[in-house]
Amino acid sequence: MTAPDTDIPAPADPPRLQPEDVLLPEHLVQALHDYLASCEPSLTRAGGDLPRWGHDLLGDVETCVLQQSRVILSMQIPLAEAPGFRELLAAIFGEGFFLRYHDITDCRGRVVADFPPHTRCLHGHVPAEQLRERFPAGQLVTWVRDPVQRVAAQYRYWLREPDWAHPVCRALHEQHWSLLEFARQDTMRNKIARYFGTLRPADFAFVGIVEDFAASVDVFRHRLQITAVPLLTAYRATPPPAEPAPVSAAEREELSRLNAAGCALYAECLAQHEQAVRALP
Amino acid sequence: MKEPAHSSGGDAIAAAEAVALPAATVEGLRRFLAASRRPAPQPAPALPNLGLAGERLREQLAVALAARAPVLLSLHIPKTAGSTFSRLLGEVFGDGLFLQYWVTTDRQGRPVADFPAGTRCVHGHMHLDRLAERFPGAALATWVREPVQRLVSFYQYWQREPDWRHPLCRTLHERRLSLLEFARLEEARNEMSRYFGRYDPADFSFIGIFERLPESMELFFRILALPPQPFGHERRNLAKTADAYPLTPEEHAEIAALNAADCALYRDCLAWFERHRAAAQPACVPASPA
Repeated sequence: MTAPDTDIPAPADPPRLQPEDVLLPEHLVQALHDYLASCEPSLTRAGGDLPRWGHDLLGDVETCVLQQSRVILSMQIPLAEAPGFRELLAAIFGEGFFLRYHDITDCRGRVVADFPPHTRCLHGHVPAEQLRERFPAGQLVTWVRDPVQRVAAQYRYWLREPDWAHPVCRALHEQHWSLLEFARQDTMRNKIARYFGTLRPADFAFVGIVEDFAASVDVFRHRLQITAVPLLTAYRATPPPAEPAPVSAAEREELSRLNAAGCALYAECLAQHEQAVRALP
Repeated sequence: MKEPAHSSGGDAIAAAEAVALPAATVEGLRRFLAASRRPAPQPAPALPNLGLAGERLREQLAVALAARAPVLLSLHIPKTAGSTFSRLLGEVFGDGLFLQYWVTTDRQGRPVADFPAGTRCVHGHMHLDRLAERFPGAALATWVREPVQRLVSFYQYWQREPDWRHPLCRTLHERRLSLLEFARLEEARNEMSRYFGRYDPADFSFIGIFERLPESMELFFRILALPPQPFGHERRNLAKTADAYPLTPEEHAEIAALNAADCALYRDCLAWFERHRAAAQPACVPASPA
């Protein structure tokens, strides 16, 4: 669960159409989308089969538009993401979904040498600046979590599921570190801030707040214009992330101090999120 | 370092300009737009302002499909210049043209078991609903004719060239029906409307008007974004058949009343034609006179 050191290789050509696809002008597709969306309240009042039919079509159109819009760059900060988000993206983007951890893998888990031309979404532990450098026009999305809880969660995660390839994880087990001893390691501090680098929350199309899961999903739907995609409705209904593990007041104080930059960034993300929630229709 | 941004070249997805939708979704949209305009049995007041916006979108979708759909379904309503039009389609689509009458045939009239993968155009007396299932998202085209004249033409045609496979034609000859007797048969009435079925003019990418042949041809080439082609020969052929059959006012009035739905449809088609022609620029090069 570490950010790769290497740069991401560049992809090649744009994706190709399927033979059964019909290429329609974007303005017409947008007009169809808006019409379907505008129909929803009226048709719902009218009853019958049309509301369900229209909603399904709206979801289909939104999915197509999202799949063909700017590449989604999903920056996964370790232990700071809402559960199931990776699987959600995989379900939406299908063959266009790729993971970037130690290797680049496709939606079936097969290692690939590079992002192929049909890459529409990539997800992994890749800092924002690397993503932005490689995909300047891509749409950055990410989740953040209270930095104190994040580092505590990472500590407990590595206790449960050690990553023996990671030197800090090995040291944690060899030296039987406490939470605070672990958190004092340089590489464990301000993880969120390091992933953001010089980019700010405003540079992201979406920044979800793990502690406000349902509202974050609503913001995600609204910002990416996928209000009718059925997967999102199901995802929003999943149980919220588990309650954070208890951290004593003394531990919290020191963890906050050790992650001051991360806490400041988290506060900025929170402020942006609250603004986005207020802007929801 | 280049990201997979969309380009507009070839068949690449051009996100800034176009969105690829599965053909089934396009077909679904077309049907939804048609259905949401007439949401029976709900009363209209429950659907404020849906009709007009949906109708505009139907037309925009049909126009967009004209040059973008993988297949053109050309509905041949009898006695509306469809046979002549099929020859033109043959020139445009070559071996990609298939005909759907009593059986499905290729361009040369050889029966085929099914439409092959290279099908680009189907022309014939067909059931659009069924073919739209087979070719979702297809562009639709047809020709219409003034309903009274169309029916008289049909009557005269079957007098000259009986189609013994057709029960209506057999009835005509067995009972030695006059024009009005034939016109009064339920099966002979409002045939254009029956061919349109659940489709409206707004669903069509092209509607030719028999009585306005040259303009219709120009519109066809422009709407389907086809290269301008001479059409002098076909125009002369069609012009010969476009002379009106003489009828008494009473005959005309009765046949029109018997085909009231077709008369209304014809008016809608004329309105469609005028709207699209107004937006059209000449793209067809008339052949020089022989």
